[in-house]
Amino acid sequence: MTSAHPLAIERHQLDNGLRVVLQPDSELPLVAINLWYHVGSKNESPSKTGFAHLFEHMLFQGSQHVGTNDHFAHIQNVGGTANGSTSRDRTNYYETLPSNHLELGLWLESDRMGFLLPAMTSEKLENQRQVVMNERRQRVDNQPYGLAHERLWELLFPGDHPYHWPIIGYMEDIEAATLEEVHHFFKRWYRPNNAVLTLAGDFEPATALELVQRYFADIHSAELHHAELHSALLPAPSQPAPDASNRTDAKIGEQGSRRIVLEDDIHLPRVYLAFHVPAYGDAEWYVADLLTTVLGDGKSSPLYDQLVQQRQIAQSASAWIHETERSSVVMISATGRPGVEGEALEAALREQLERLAGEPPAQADMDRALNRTRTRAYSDLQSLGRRAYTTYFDRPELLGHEVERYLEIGAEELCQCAARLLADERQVVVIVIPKQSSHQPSSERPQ
Amino acid sequence: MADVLRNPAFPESELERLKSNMVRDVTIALSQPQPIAQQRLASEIYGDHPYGRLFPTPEMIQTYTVEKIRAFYHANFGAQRTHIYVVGKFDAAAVEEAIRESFADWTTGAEPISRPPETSSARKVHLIDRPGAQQSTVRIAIPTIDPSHPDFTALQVANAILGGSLTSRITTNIREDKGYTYSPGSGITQRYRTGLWTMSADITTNVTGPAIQEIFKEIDLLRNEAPAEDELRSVQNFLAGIFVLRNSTPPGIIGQLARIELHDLPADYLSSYVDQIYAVTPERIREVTAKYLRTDEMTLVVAGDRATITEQLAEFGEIVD
Repeated sequence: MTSAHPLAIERHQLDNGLRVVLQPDSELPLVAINLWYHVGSKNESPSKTGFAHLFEHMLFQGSQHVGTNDHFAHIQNVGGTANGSTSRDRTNYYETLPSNHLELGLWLESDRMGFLLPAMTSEKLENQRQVVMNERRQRVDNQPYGLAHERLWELLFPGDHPYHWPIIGYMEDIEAATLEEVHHFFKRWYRPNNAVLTLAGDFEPATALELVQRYFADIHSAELHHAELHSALLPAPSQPAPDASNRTDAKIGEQGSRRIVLEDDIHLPRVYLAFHVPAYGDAEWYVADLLTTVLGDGKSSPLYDQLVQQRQIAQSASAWIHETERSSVVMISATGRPGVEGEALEAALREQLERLAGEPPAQADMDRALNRTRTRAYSDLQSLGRRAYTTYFDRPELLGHEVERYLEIGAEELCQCAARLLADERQVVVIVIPKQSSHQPSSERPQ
Repeated sequence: MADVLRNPAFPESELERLKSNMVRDVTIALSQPQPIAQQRLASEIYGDHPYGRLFPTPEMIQTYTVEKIRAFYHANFGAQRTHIYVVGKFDAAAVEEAIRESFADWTTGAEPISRPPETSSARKVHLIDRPGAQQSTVRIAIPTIDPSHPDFTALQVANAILGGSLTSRITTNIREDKGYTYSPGSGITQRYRTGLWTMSADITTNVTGPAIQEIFKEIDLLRNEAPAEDELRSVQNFLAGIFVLRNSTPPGIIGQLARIELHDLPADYLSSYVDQIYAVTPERIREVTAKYLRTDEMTLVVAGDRATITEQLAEFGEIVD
């Protein structure tokens, strides 16, 4: 263990607006780099879905000083790993390297932030379009239950809300993306003042900051357009809404219960219930998260115990929450045994929710959930890559401390939260049943 | 933990539920194209050996009783066959004492058994029809050596050049150049005294044939021509780096220790591995690829839309249902 606190962090900001988080820990000769851009599928237009993710693929196609397939080659050449990911709210690019190659990682990231466009060609776009269409086939269209999530978000959020469409996008939109849009998207969102750079691992903070200055300080900032998002109801990203009644999700939640039944190439029915809850970071988000742990995490949870063990109507049952920025979602799901109707599964899930809403969970259940939350938090800290990840929404100080937000939540609070947020008039339901005819599930945009 | 291992209850009351859950877990897995292809591949390569059965049949599960489970447990679990690994920050003396206290008088149990499988592979295409599927789930495989073999490290490096990394030749060709697939990759499954080299990809239905052609083209190229020094060096750096990353967490270290034990690797394996990686020469890569990745003996499994792909597959060998 080093003399400094192993999770000590330093925060800096360059003149061009780039935020920098340093988390030095010299226990292992490794460094993890994570560059976050505050742009995701929510910044797309409803008629051009999937673009943020397709764009993420384009960022691995080289930049002015990095050859077409050389990004991974440079990383592998020094024994590192790298990848990227796109969510509704953000896109991140990350690498873990031997610590003496920190500079290489910074150079690669700065080259694509500063010098991407000269390297973008229509051939590269065409190629990545094909790769992404295959990714969609593999993950969604050719996977059992693959379309259920897409339908859930479509039902949860109205057509013009930025969380309505899938992150990977609809096939027809992926097919229609143009090189001009690549240029436009880059200039608009991939600027230093819309990014956070985090380093975790074996480095001297002063030296690392100097390197960051050297590679990133000259990259120009740009005027950002978060305010232009078509959902004018939403709070600005850095300003949490003062109370729940002003939040978009509260209004959306009032749309009432909606449901669809989906046929798929499967043997066992599956039911999803989804609910609007406050955004990630909100005190109530943590209550809702703990609630999903109490309800459905592990084999001693009520969902598993009641539906799988006692009544034996389900094969599996679980509950989870999404870490979304503007309005979050709790999902609860059960896969039925053969012959069990979707509606019966739904009723059984509902029954567990009513129970939780009517009576605070036993202290033993609370303790179990808190212990699981703690274990999850601590095992995340074992990995430098995970630590570099934890700058989500510009709150790096949560590193190692986020778990404290759960410790003060009481059983009564949990019960009230269930009653308020998981009421049946607020729920969205997707039931997937074995298909009757032989047609494939459709990935067409819903009408 | 000691109590669970030494005195497992195996309650009768849980059995029916666990059995029916198991049946349905298998059902769910076998509605996905990847497990379907994987199961077929295992049974073609390993036949009746347990390695050939990835999933039990519902009939097998129905025959399991608490008596059978107890008998199996007592015949197979005991001190002689058990290793305890503890990795992390702890007081070694205290942990050792605790382990001794809990396990020292545990029954010795049966000796480890060794029953490596007999493998077989022939150039045929095993086709599983998934009408209307938008992608073909493809496996191309050949049984090969295991980590205890002196050629294994060289074969691992050859695999990384061919399909075992994001910059590998096959990935560059069928993903980055042609866009036929999203996540192609090859690897060597390491089992006791046997290995299985497998190339996996989910390929757009209408280019299934051309993509498989490119895969074979890349394997044959490496069988015939040694790679450039630069290409080899880059892959060696990658493998050495991944090795360090893999050993940077407690579960990673436990995995390595268990692997050494399973394959009877030398005690200095962890400290000499990086040197062994760098000792591989370009000519050696060509040699092991030619020796072990014999394209004319590879088994192909394809789960996809028969109506569209049968014709595309004809050139790769006899098509078997």
